Parts: sequence; structure tokens; C-alpha cells
Amino acid sequence: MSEKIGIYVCECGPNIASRVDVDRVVEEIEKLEDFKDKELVVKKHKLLCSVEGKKFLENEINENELTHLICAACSPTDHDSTFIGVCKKTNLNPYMYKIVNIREQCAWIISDKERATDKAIRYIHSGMSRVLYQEPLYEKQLDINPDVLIVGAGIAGIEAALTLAGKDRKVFLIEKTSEIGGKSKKLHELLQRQGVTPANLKRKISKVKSNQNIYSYTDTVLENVIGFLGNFEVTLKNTKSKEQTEILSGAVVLANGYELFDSKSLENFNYSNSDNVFTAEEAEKMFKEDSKLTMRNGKEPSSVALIHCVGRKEVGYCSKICCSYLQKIAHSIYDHSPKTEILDFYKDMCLPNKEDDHFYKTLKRKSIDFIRFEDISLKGNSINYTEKSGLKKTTSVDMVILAPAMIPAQSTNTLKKMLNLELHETGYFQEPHVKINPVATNTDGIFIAGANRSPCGISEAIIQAQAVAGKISTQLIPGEKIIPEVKVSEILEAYCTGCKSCLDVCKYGAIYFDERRAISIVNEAICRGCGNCVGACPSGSIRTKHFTNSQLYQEVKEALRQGEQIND
Amino acid sequence: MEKEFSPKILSFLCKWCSYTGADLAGINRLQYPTSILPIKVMCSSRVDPVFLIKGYFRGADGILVGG
Repeated sequence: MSEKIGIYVCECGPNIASRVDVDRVVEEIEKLEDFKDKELVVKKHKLLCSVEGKKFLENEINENELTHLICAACSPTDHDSTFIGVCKKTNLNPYMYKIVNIREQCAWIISDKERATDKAIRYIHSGMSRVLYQEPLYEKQLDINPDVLIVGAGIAGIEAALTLAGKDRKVFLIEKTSEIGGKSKKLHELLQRQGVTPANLKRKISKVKSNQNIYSYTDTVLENVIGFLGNFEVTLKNTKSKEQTEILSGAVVLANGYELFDSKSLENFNYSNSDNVFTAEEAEKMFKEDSKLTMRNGKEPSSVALIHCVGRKEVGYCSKICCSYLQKIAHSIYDHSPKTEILDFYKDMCLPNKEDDHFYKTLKRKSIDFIRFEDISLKGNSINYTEKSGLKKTTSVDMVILAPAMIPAQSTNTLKKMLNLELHETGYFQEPHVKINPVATNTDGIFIAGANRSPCGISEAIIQAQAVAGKISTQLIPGEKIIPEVKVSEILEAYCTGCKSCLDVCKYGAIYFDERRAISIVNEAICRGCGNCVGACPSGSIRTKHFTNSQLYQEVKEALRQGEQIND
Repeated sequence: MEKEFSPKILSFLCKWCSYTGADLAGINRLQYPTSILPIKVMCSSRVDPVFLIKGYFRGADGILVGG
């Protein structure tokens, strides 16, 4: 079949037409020496992306039986998918089409109409050379498994499970400890004055237990995960019986939580286990068990110091929730024994939520000393500190309660290696975009929620879990299929030397090594077609579909055409 | 009459960042030499060093890999 290229130049209303001489473009493209043995259909249109424009394009493709299509229009970011959609309605394979950006990268950057027109012609010429080297690609449809695996049965994991489990969707909730509920379960009260009590949490836990679509596995860790969005094969391992379980899931939610900074590792926090120095977690436990604080000798303390920001400087970030939970503890101490002297040593008061300020103000009315320190050190129960004003002081209290920084859980690193994910320099999981795409990871189908992506409180963990559930519900619809990326890399077996360079550079974990044949193989369902491996392959055995060397080389050739007169 | 030297720059722009950046330059009506015909790639790491060598052989005065 002979090649017939359709070139449609969009005027984009006045956007292109006012700055590029579209008629001259059409005229000169028709006369191009390089394409004189090819059939060309060159036309202009007022607005190709309009309903009428799309219909026009569809008719043109069908009537002229085009084999290749060029749309000289706006940026591909705007309307590439529009024109691909038009191709899909016709017999033309959408990968035999190319958009040429003569608006953002031509009309709008050159004020001189003549020069802009010259560039538009060169740009379209380059697109035509490339499109001749393009080859048809065919989309595949894959069945999906709508079930979800959730790692970690803390508050985020529980919320995600409850939101996702339902008709046609099973949830596997795994927890490495022996009971579900996570760290929040250990709290004696959530912010009670704000109507949040542990009872709310207990209700959620019992809902998890009674939900027939949620399968809980306690004392269980993740052993291995292979696969991709819609089709993960997961191996679970019971830490006690060592028994392994194989399950299938369509998505994985990581909600493995956080750990606390070890305050004893700090030089200026010199205390032993016999001193009356406790972490906030231990204080919570005392309140939960007998609603009051108890010193090692069994007596109640008459003075308590609360110290914020322990390890704040070392970890390099604010843990966001410590100021408010220390205030909660101060409230509890005051409620139980109002005569107890409370000293609150803070560095910066972090009150990010709308309720926090009121909570803080009610506390300020209750004779509590708020001391803003610059530097602090601890020797047993005696505290040496430098006030913000520079004044050095020493004081001694019966009991000290510390708010250590939140740090990433050890399991975060294990999961990072197992699932080939990226970590932020602080050790937390790295989301693809902290603002725009905050609960995803660099691997499709794997999501993060809660304090494993950044320190956060209960409400934020719940918000994230619900966000993850929303993403999964729209990506994995029971009964529907998914279409994986077609512009993927492929390895030509005969040329692969088995050097494994590609395995090191693949950010998506899409390449695996076949030991028996000693070659690398691309898993097309995971590959995103970035071409990282192509650039790294020393034997030139990898090609990325739709971005092959010969296709790109046509563009290089045109960009540097010899004898081209360019006057700038 | 001698012409002023106008360098030929070959540019590879990553679809996600610098290609979008070049679009933004257009949206803001910034002006730059007409000689550049940006080549879109899915990721700057796709640019095989061979392209740079071929580019120089073909007469490029400079090559920009934006990523």
C-alpha cells in the first residue's frame, strides 16, 4: 500500500493564523521535494479540536484512506488525546499520527510572521519525516483483580479497609503484631474535648472484625510481591508459624505507620531507666491503666515537665502532632490533680489544625508554665535550659515526659526494597508529587497512607486512607478491564548480553532477569516507556516503541538540516 | 556580506518537565531563536549518547538535554 500522508494545519482561531501565514504553510508543504513521491493531502482548518473539526478530520481520514496523519496545531499536552480519539473512530492506527506543536513552540514565540511561518514549515516537515517511520501499535486489554491488600492495620489501614471492602471487592488486611488497631489503640483518649474518644476507634475495629469482605491476618508480614496494577501475586508469611499464604490482589496499600525517635540516643538527654523520665507513649499507658501518672516509687508526681521537640533537630523535620498531644496530656494531668505543677518546655508551638488554638488557650488559663527554650539538657530529673531570651536556668521536677520525633518505621525500608519504591531523604515514602499526587507511589497500583509518608495525626491518616480508597475504586472497577501503556520498551533477545545495566536504571521495577536464558525481560504491564533503559543499554538491544532511534533520528536530521538558512 | 553567527541548537525535551516548560515559554510569549526544533522524549534519560555524537556530526553547535 502506498503511503498517503494527511497534513492538517489548524488555525486555532486567531491564535496560530494571526502569527503564521497558514496559506503559505499549506502551499509550501505540498511542494516539499522530500515527499514528491508520496501522496499528500494538505489542508487548513479553523479549529481542529472543535466538534466540527473532529468530524472533518474523521471524514478526511476515511475518505482519503490516509496511512499517516499530521495535525499541526497546539501542544500535545492540550489535544494529543483528542486527535488520538479521532483516529480510534477510523481505520487509522492512532500511532500512525503525530501532532506538531506550531502554537506554543512556534506561533507564540516568534513575533515576526515570516520567520514563524518558516519555522512552522520546518517543524511540520520534521513531523512528516518522523511519522513515516512510525509503526502501528495495538492496545491490549487485561482482566483485573479488584481485591486489595493492605499492609498495616493501624488507623489508616483500618479506614482504607472499611472504605474499600464491599460487594465484589475483598480486602486482605495484614498486621505484623498480634492485634489490629495499631498505635492509636494504645491511647487513653483521643482529643476527648473535641468529641473524639477511643470508643470511636473501637467501633471501627469491631466493624473490621465483623465485615465479611475483610480478611484480617495478624502476626503476618509481606514476604514477596510480584505483578502490576490489577494483577499482584502476593506471598504473606506468618511470623509465628512461619506458614506462607499466597493471595491475589489488584492493588497494594502501604499503611505501615511510624516509630518513635530514641531519646536516649541524644547526648544531652542523660537519664536511666530508674529515673522518672517517660515518653508520651508511656504516659498514655499510665493514664489508660489508672487515669493518673505514677512515679517509679508508686507516688503521684507533684511537678511534671513536658518537653517538646525531642530529636527534632536530629531528624530535620517537625512531627506535627506532638504539641497538641502534650497539651492533651497537660489537660489530663490537670483534670486529675489540679495542684500538680506543670512546666511545658516548647521550642515552637505547632498548632496546625483549626481546633488546636482553642485547645491551647483553654490550657493557658490553667496555671501552666509555658517556657520557650533555645537549648535543653536533662540529667535524671533535673533540667538545664536556656530560655529564648538567652537566660540560662536549672530546675528539678518529679517527672519528665518527652515528645520524641516520629521517624519512619523500619519496615518502610524493607518495603522499599521489596517493591522498588523511592524514599524521601528523611526515610519516609516518596510520593510522585507531594501536593498534586500525594498518596500514590512511583509504581502504579501501590499506594501509601498515614504516617509512613510523613508525620501525621489520626484525622490526616484517615483522610489519606479515604483518598487511597477513592483512587483504587476508580482504577479497579470490578468487571472492567485495564489498558496498559503501549509505548513500552522491548528487549531484542539476540542482542542482550545480560549485563543487567537496565535493571539498575529502571525506576518502575519493570525489568526482570531471566537467569536461565541470561537475558533481561521487560514486563510490559509495568513499563511506562520512559526509555531510561534504552539510554543505558550498552549493546543497543532495547527499543522503546513510538520513540525508537530511527524515529527520533528523523527529527534530529530535520532539526539540523544542512544548508538551512535561518536568520535570527 | 558576512552573516552574523547563529548557532544551531539541538534540543531534547522531557515530556513531563522541559517540554511543558517550552510550552509555558510560548504561553508567556517569551521569544527565542527560531532555529530550535524541540524533540520530545518520554524522559531525558532516553537520550542515548549516540544522539549527541550524531547531532554534532550533523552540524549542531550545541545540544540541550532538558530533564
